[in-house]
Amino acid sequence: MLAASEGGFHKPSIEEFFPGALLFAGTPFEINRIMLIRLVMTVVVAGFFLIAMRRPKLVPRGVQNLGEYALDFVRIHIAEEVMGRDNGRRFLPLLTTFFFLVWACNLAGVIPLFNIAGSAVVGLPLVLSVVTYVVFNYAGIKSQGFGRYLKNQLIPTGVPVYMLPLVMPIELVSTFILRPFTLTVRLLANMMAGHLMLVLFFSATSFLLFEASALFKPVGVLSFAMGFVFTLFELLVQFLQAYIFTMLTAVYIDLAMHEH
Amino acid sequence: MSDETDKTTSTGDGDVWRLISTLVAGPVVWGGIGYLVDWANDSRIFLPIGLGFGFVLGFYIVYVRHGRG
Amino acid sequence: MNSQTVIAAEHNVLLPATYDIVWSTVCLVIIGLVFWKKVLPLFQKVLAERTEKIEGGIAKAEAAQAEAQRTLEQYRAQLAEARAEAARIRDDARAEGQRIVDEMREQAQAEANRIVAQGQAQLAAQKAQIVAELRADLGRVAVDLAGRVVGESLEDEARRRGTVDRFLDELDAVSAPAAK
Repeated sequence: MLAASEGGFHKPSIEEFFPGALLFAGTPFEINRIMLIRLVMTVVVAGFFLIAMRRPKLVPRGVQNLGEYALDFVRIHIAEEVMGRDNGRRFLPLLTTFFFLVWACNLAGVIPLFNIAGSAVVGLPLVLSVVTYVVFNYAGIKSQGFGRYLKNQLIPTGVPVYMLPLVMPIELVSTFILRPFTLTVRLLANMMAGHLMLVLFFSATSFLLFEASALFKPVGVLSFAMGFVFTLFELLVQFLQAYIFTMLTAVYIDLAMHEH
Repeated sequence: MSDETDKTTSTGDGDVWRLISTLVAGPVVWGGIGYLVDWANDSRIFLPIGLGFGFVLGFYIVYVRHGRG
Repeated sequence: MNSQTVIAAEHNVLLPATYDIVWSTVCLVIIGLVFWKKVLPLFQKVLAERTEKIEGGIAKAEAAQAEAQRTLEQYRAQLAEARAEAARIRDDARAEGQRIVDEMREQAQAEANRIVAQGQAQLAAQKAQIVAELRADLGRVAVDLAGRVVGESLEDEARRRGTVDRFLDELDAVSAPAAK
């Protein structure tokens, strides 16, 4: 947040999500603050798990314990819970990757100095949703065959033929358009909104405490307290969104592979 | 964390998400069609009709798929 | 502020910039490879080892339990055997006692019978002897008496024997129907 350095009340805006380039400006490899944050979080996640599982012991200790706890969360409460043991194991690498990448990037939103989620720009949610889209269609076609997969997705069993022209567009949109769209937008919107709220509270705090008249200082304290509470709330939302994103990925793959 | 799942295959918990998706898609699709018709005819009536129609259809699909067991 | 809103109009939050896609993909690939190729295989291996260890432990415990069960069965069998043995010995003793008592009773009976038989035989012998003596006495007395009555000596051997025998036979004949 640039509020403190610029002076004046910094009104949160869309521009928060399009900071200036730091490197390779104008190229496809342009790096700005948010891209940098993503890369740092990626290295942190990869590093943490590589260290945690460097020499895994039968009886886990310290950081291995923590790593296993985290991995087990995805394995048991997302993969196996949604898809069952066999398919859960099959798609575990994908789901684990999604969950920790999204969660780490989300977390950057409340990490001091980062202050913005790596997933608050559309690229990451979109790329992950596209991967989900490709994977669930691939899994569906592979397990049922193209024709049967399409039929199962588009034609609800028991609908009379004359209803199909009315019903099929809905199923088409529901399965092949709304799914990836909502997956992307849900994560993106949550992270953007969270960031904007935090910026609002903390820049208001900064303005009220340091620049507005003394009369407003108590309001600034209140604003800071709100910002603090909202930071805690944001922590919850970040975890929840990572969980939902990963869980829905599992659900979509699972739905594609079974006849309904 | 300690409870391992015993099931080897899916239980179909995902149906709930599919249901929600369908309920949303109904109004979106038919509302969209209504909007296009309005746009083409310079009218204002087909968007709400489409929305309502799609809403009902969404429920119909959910009913057909789940309501009758 | 004004310039910002102008720039903002250029940005659509739903349309990704190329670099955005690029770096998202890079992050995804890095983390994906780390989990897929390295972390999860290690994790699965540890889980498998752990499961194996737990199952091994369970198997061991089961074996110990089976062993204990077997020992218990053995002990019970032995106990039952001992009980049966004791019962058998007791029955044997009882039977033996019974046998001895029976034997003794038989022996006593036999002895008693023998004694009775002996007594009877003795009695019979004595009776026969007495009868014989009585018969001889009776003959002599009768002869003496007759001699005295008749006054004639019947001491002639041959005659006497005949007479006496005849008398005795008659006596027998008379007494026999009475005895019957």
